[in-house]
Amino acid sequence: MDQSVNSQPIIAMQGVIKDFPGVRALDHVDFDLREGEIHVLVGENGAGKSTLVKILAGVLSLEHGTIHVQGTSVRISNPSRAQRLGIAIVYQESNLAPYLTVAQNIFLCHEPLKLGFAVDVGNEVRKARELLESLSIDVNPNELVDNLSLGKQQLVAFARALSFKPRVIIMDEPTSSLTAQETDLMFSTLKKLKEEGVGIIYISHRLEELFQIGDRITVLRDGKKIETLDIKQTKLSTIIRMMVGRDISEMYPKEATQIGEEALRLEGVTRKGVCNDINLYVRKGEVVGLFGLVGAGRTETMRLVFGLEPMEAGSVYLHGKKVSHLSPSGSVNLGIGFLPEDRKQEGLCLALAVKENIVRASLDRLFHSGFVSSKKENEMAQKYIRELSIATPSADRLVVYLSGGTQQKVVLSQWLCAESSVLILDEPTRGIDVGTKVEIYRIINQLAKNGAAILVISSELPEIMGISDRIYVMCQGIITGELKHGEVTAENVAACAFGTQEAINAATF
Amino acid sequence: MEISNVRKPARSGLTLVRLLTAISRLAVLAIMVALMAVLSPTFFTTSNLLNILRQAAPIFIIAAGQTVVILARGIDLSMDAVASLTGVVMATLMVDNAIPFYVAMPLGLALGALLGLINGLIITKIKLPPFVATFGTWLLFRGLTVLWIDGRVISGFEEGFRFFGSRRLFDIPVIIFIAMLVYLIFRILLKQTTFGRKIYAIGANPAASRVSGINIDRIMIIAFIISALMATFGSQLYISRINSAKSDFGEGFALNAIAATLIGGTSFEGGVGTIEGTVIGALIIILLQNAMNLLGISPYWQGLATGLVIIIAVLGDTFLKKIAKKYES
Repeated sequence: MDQSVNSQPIIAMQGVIKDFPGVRALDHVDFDLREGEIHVLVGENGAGKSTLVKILAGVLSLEHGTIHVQGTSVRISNPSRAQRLGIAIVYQESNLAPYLTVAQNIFLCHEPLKLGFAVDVGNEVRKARELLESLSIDVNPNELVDNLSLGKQQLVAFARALSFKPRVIIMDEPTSSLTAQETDLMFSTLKKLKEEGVGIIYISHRLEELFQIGDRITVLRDGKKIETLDIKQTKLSTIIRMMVGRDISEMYPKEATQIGEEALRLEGVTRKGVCNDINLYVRKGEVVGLFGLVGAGRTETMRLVFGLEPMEAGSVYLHGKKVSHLSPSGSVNLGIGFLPEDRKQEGLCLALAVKENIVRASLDRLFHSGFVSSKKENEMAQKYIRELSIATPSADRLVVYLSGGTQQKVVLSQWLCAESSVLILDEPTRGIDVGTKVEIYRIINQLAKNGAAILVISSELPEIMGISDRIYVMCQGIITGELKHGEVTAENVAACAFGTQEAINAATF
Repeated sequence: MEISNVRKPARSGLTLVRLLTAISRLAVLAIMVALMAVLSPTFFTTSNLLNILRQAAPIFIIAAGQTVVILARGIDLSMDAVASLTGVVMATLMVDNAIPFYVAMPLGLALGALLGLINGLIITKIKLPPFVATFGTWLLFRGLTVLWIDGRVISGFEEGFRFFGSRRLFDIPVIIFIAMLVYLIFRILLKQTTFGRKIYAIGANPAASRVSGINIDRIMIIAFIISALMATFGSQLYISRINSAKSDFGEGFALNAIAATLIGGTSFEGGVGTIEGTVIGALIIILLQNAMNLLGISPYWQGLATGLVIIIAVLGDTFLKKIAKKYES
């Protein structure tokens, strides 16, 4: 793309700093976007990609740094300011109003009017139809958004973004819910827009996509910009190395453990639209990684196993015995612990004290009579506060006032207190600072040493490579690979995660 | 553990805010009492104070049930109708069928438990929101009451039954002792049983409680049975006191119980609150009425005053919470 190199930047960001409580999300980041280019943004979770584009979209404000739009210095203080500057954003999860029609959603807040105040309904539908047809999106403008598939909703969100006739479009992982045809459709539209001179910022975890459509690529890691490269002259392995960056052996204090007999086995676990014929096992003392891209179905599958969602076919075996009825309370009684992906939503009672959170899964086990002994409760809480170095002034402290990493240790200690023999940990280090991450890896090691069977779901490749004895890789609802400790390399895990075409075809949905 | 230490907050200021939150209601109650002691010569007499306690007792007894439900993020609007239906059924059993009170009262409670079970099942199995479910059963149970009693007024109960609501022990109304007993039971239930812990956990975060293996449906059903039982028991005490039962009896029970719970500091979002707060809430409601009566203010103003107190109490909580948060971060 020689001409794109010469064209002037539409957006130039310089020295951008953004702080969140306890963590610097962006640290002196420079970024620019030229006319008619697709600029790809990659990095691990928490690298700062979303923060960067949210600043451009006016959702977050920046602490330091400058933004120039077409040469003029601007402050993007709110989303409507971004809109007036010609910046539109399509989020990973479409945020449309489910009970409005497609046309109403597309023109929400910029409806065509008649007499200056009344919505011109006929015109709205006609314009929506024209727009959808010009994009070859096969959706009825009068349909309620709630009735559309996630992929179609995403395309409608895309159409809405284009209805503002933007000069800059930001796509934040737009293809995670799209089918292959829908993805192709979106890509051809993006290429057309590019030719019209629109600048596109594209975030994706599907690295192979980037080579299909990207012109330049910027790699972020831990809030810092690592490099901006011309994508045509860059190898996938280079990009992965830049994303990962750290010295893996230091970060992951993996120790050899005594691996015992099988503790958890899944046979043919299936649920339509979620996963298909999942077979896997975890042995005592073993840490098994379950890797995949966002939306591969890992979390959803393990939620079936724990009994949070109903399973359609397949069975779960615990220590060789088939579990007849899956429910969360049944699973807890059988000694399964589940650390959910979103600790605030499902992991903690934020308004309650540390000690109440620690014993929550063990109430019936610790207090058979039904009466709680405060003495015993305090002893248990103190024990785990000490063992996991939970940074809290007292066991009575409300969990809401603790830092993210400390909160995560409280969730973990809930399952230590319950003496779970099988632990399912879903993204155990998401949104946690590096120091606490290492502590959590140590705890996982210790648990494995004590004979627990541990399954870790993670989207961070170095993490999963660093802590697992064995790795299963999922892609689009099926297991696409099982890798033993020796065979694990970034390249072959990534290859399984992106899914070979044959494997995806074999999956019947 | 050097890396992720929590920041040390300004402890003294925070402690003050915490203390204020904890004692704010007691302070309001104390100020009201002090004010009334100055304004009205008849207020600070034994008979008036006992009168306040006697009137607050049944409100508290019913509100104790509502507190359990609201702590678990529910609400029970059907308490009025549960009270009237179980009340008139028990009354007809005693008066028309000459069944002794020690049989009729447990039968009434059993009917109450059944009505609570119906609420609980509609909420957990059909998955209607508690507001909608208990609004529906409120109308339903009220309809059944009218059908059952057909406009009659039932009165003339035996002496043994009248003992609970209208007799005195050591010159103190029996109902005050009953309320104290109910307080003790609910304090133990909420603070010292696994059931109580689960109620708080569900109210604070139902999704996390589910992941922790708490059987939410079972706990919620029990909570609604408790609230129906307390509505039933409260209605029995009322009937015992006024010595009559008719179909519109029990009106306002649910709203008074919700008012006492909220004034007492239980969060409508669940997970936060105490039974002590509800005691104070019930006292504040009755004190307000008593004060207006003594000061010769029209009873028409009473609803308005109670409403204002609820809004101010909840606002005050929100305000104190905000300050506490500021200190923490």
